[in-house]
Amino acid sequence: MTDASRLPVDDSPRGTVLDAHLHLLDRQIVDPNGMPIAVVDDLELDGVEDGPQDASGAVRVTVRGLVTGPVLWTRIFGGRAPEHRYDELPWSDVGELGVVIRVDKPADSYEASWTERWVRERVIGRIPGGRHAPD
Amino acid sequence: MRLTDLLDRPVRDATGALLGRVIDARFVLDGAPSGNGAGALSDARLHGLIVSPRRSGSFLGYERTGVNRPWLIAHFLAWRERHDVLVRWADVATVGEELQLRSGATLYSPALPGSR
Repeated sequence: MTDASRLPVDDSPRGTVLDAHLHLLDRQIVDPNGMPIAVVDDLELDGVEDGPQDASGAVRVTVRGLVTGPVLWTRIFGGRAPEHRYDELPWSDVGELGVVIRVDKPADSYEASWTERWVRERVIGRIPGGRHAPD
Repeated sequence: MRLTDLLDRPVRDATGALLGRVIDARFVLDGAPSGNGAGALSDARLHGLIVSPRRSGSFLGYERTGVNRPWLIAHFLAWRERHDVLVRWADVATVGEELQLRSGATLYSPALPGSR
């Protein structure tokens, strides 16, 4: 087997370098106000399909969006949840990468925050005093 | 395609020898901003894949980041992942149940640039 300490380090990238597991997956996504939206469970990629890959370098494989969904059970037991259970936040909305990932639009504009809205409207909102900030 | 569709797939070199499995993917932000906002980031381009002969994959990425504390844990985990390699996406010839590399594909250390 190859000993990586004897291999060259690839210093060719001229921009920010991210490893998916180290810098993206399982990070909290927050909106500009710091409101939590979801967690990054997967990445949707453009430009790659099964089969022979372009050798000319003309096809760029890029991240189309951050995918969030019900992955707890599929991580334990395998398989994949139905496609409609996943929500995608476009990469073009991402404004900052760090300990959390900040997007430029408010949480309510994403389908991924529907549970938050549902609980707010159907449960919290029906509690007396639940529709305004505490005095 | 989703990233998790690529993860865990076996990778073979041009001769058919098994290098390991895909445990991570490396992206580079080196293009024009992809969004309209003032702080919009560049497109995240897939640069390469981290391949490991260990099925369980990397833990915390000590072999890539150059973090060396706590010393014992850092050195143990880096030693455990000493056979991990980076292959550039441009060197991937075929994506299927297994990934096949082109002949002459170069193997790189998985260390992040500037971490050594």
